[in-house]
Amino acid sequence: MRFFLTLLPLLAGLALSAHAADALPRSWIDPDTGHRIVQLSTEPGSACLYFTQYGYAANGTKLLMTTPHGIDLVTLATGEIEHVYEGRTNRVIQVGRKTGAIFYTKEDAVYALDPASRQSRLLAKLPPHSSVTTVNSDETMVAGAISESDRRPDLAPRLPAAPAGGYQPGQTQLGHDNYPDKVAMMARRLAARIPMTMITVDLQTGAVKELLHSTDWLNHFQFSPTDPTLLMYAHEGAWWNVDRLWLMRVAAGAPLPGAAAASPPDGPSEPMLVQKRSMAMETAGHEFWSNDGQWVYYDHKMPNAEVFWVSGFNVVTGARVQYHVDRDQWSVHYNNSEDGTLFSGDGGAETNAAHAKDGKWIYLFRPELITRTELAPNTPPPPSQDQMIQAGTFHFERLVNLAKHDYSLEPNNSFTPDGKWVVFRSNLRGPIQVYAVEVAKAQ
Amino acid sequence: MRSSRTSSGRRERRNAKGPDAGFDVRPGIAEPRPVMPQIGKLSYIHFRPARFAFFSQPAIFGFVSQRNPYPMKYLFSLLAAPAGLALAVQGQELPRSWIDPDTGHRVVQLSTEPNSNSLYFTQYAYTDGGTRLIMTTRHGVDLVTVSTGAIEHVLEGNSGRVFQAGRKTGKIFLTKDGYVCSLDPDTKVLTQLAKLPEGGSVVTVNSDETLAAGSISDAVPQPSGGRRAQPPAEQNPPPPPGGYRPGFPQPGHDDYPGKLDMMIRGQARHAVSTIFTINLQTGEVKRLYRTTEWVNHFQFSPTDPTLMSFAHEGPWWLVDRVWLMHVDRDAPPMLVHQRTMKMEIANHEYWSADGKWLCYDCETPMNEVFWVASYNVYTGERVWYHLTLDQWSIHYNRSPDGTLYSGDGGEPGHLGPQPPHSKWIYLFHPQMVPELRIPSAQAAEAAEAGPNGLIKVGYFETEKLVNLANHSYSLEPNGNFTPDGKWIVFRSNMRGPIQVYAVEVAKANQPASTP
Repeated sequence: MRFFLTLLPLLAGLALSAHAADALPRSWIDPDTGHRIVQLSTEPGSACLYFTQYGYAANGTKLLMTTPHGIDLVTLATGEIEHVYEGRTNRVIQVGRKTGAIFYTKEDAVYALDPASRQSRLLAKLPPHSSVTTVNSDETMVAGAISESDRRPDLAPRLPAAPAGGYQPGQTQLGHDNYPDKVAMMARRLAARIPMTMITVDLQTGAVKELLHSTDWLNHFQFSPTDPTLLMYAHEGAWWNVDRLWLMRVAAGAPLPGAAAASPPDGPSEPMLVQKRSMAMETAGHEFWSNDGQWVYYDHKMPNAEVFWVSGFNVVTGARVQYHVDRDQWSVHYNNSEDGTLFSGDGGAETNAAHAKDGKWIYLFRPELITRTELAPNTPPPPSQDQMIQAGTFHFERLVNLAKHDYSLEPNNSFTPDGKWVVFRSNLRGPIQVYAVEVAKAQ
Repeated sequence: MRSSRTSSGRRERRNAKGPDAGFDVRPGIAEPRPVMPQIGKLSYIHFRPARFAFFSQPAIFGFVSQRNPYPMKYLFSLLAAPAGLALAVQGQELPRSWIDPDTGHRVVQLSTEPNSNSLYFTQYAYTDGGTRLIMTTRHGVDLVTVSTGAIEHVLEGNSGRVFQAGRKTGKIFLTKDGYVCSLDPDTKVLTQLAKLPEGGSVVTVNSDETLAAGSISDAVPQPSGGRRAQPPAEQNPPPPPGGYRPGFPQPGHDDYPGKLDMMIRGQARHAVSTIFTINLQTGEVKRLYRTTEWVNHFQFSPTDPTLMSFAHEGPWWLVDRVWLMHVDRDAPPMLVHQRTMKMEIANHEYWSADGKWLCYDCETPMNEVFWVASYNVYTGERVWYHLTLDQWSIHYNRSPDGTLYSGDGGEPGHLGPQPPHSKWIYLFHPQMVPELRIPSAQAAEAAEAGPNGLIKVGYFETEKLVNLANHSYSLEPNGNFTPDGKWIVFRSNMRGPIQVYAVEVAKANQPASTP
C-alpha cells in the first residue's frame, strides 16, 4: 500500500454504520476491479464539487467537500476531516489554484475563505441578478453572467420531492443531476431567449466589465487554469440544439488560434466557437480544461447515442484530437490527470445518453493515438495533414463497480493532484458521500 | 422438383412469387458444411484479405482471370438447362440452389463454369430489362437469366475488358484491340465503336450510351491501353491436389502481398494522365483534365449523361479520393468528401440507381469508426449511416429503390479492421437516429440547409443473408442488387472454384416481395 500508508491504519478500526447492525468499512477493495476505494466523507449528503471545479487545497493534499452544514476539507492521506465553514453559502465556486483560498458567493458578494485561519474575506459585491462561477488562475477576477431568469419561476427545474420523513438508512439518496423534467427544462429555458450579459468582476477593485450581450443561454464559465484572461463558456441547452463550446479572451493576452483579427488590447476578443456541429444530433458537452491549460476536452457524440468521442482542442496551437470511446465506456463526465497522461470517466446507466448495458463503472483510460504508420512506413504524412484531427482510442480499466449507484447523482470524477486517486461522489451505499479510488491496483 | 424435405424433416416450399423454376434442383437441402482438410499449411493462406479492391474486376484491369488454368474436368453443365441439374465437385453433389441454414435465405449458384466472375460492384451488369446478368468466364461472356438460371454464351473467345451493360440499350460494352466495342446480346454481333487514343483506356459508359470515359496515361502506355498495376508479387499457388473444392477456395486477386506497396508506389509516382471522353458515334476524343494524381474508377451517373465521378487512387489515408465532374463543361472537378482527420478514408464509391446519390465507405479514422456515407449530387444533402465493426464490409451497395443496402463482409487482415464475425453477405435496413431537436433549433438549421446543412445520420440494422465462413477474401464478393431488388449477386470461392451466386433478399419461407 504505497499510496495509502497512513490512511489504512487510521481507518482500520473505523467503520460507518448504515444500518444499525451493518458496519461498513471506510476502505475496501472492489472485488470486481481489484482497486482500493475509500469513503472520504462521513456525513450523509456530502458531495465533492462539479467535475470541472478545482477542489483541492493545501497544495493538493486536501479535498473540498460540501456538506449540509457547510464546507469540509478532508486530508487525502489520512481521511481526517475538518469543518472549515459553518453555515450556508450561495455557491462554492472553487479553490484558488494560486493561494488555495476557497471562493464562494453569498448574498450577492464574492468571498475568499482561508482554510487555515477559517476566516472569510469579502472581495467584491456582485451586480443584481448575477451569478459568477469561476476564478481565474491568478485569482484577480471572477466570471459569470447577469440574467433575469431568476424572475421566471416557470423556467425553474421541477425536481422530484425528497421522500416524506427523509431518506431512511439503506435507501438510495437521489441526486438532482438527472430528473424527469430535465430535458424539458432545458428546452423551456433555451426557448425563452432571456437576455444575458456575460461579465467579469475584478476582485481587487470590484469593477464589473461587460463582455457580451446575448440571448443564448450562457453557462459553464471556466477560466483557464494557467492563462488568467482566457475563458471558456457554453451555450447551454439540450446539446443537439446548440453549438455549445466557446472561448473568449476577456482581457489582454495572446490571440486565440485561428483568430482572424487581433483583439482590442484590453479585450474582450470575439467569441470563438470550439466545436462547430456538422451532423444532426451531434453533441459536444461536459467540457473541461487540461491541468496545463493547453487543451479543452469534451464529451463529443457524432451523433448522440451512436458514436462516442472524447475530443480535445489545443488553445495554443489549434491542434485537435479525438479519442474514440466504446458505448459501454462512454461516461457522463471525463477528466484528465494532472500530468495529462490519463483520463477518467464516471460511466453511465442505461438511461443515460449512451444507453449502455454495462456502463456503470468508474473508469481509468489510457489514451493511444492512431497513427498506423505501419501501413506506410516510408511515406510520412504530407504537410497538408498537419491541421487534421488526430484520432485515438482509449484503453480502459475498470476502477469501481457502480452497479448499486443511481445516476440521478452524477459521480463527477476528478484526479487528485498527485494523480494517485480518482475522487467521485456516489449513492452506492445509500446516502450521498464522497469517495476516492486508487489508480494503482491494490497489492 | 419444387420442394424437398430438409434434414430436420421440415418441408421447405419454394416461394410461390419468387423467380420461376430453374434452380429448384434440391431446394430444401442445406449445403453440407465442408470440413477444412488438415493437410498442412496451404499456400493460399498467404492471400490475406486487405482493403483494396481496385483491381477486383478482371475485365477492367486485365491481368486477373486468365492466369489460372483450370482443369476442365470440373467444368460441368456448360450449356446449362439448369432445371434438374446438380453440380458435381469431387464426386460430391452440390445443389445449385439451397437455403443457407444460418440465415434462412435462398442462395443460388448462377454460374456453372469454374472461374466465372460477376463484374466489379459498381459496374452495371444487367441486360434484357434487368433480367439477365453478365458473367465473364475463361471462354468469353455469358449471360444468365437470374430467374431461371439459364446460361447463354454470347461471346466466345477473348472478350477484352468487359466494363458494363448499357442502361439504355442493354448492349454490353467492352474494350478490345484498342477499340471501344459493343456486343448485342441478342444478335451476338460485336461492333467496334471508336478507336481509343494511344495510352487511353475507358471503363464507363454514360447513361445515354453516347460517351465512354477514362484516362490517357502519358507515363506508361500499355499495349492494350491504360495504366496497369504491376501483377501480384507472388504467383498464385497451384490448385490443391484434386482441384479447388469446398474447403480449398480458389484464391482471387483482389488482395495479395505487395498490393499496398504497389498502391504507395503508384500514388507517389505522380505520373501525368488526362481524363478524357470518347464519343461512341463520332469517335471524337475530348481531353478534359490533366493531372498528376493517379486517377481511376471513372463512373458515369446512371441517369445524367454529362456527370461522372472518379477517384484519386492511392493509399486512401493519403488522398482525397472521391470527385465529381461534368464532362460537358470547362469546370474543375468537385471534391465530394474532404477528409478532416488523419487516417480518415473515403472510398469504394458507387451511384444510387436514380443517379441522385453518390455513396461511399467512410471511416473516421480507418478501421475504427465506420460509415456508409452518401452525398446528393443535386442538393448537397448528406446522409451517413453508422456501422459497427461486425457490419463492416469491403463493398456496400444500395438497392434500386434506395431503401436497403448490402454489404459483402470481410475477414481479419493486416490492413483492414479485425472484425471477428464479419464473413457474411449482409442486408442492411437503414434507420435514422431519433430527432430530438426543438423547433427553434431545427428552424435555424433549416436556414442552413443544402450544402452547408448538417449531415443527416442513421445506422444499419443487420440481416445476414449468406454465411461466407468458407469464403476466402482474397476474392472480394462485390455484392450488388438485381434491378428488381429481389436478389443480391456476388462472387465467391466458398465452394472452391470462383463462381457467381445470388441470394434472395426475402427470407425463403416467407412470401417474396420487393421490399
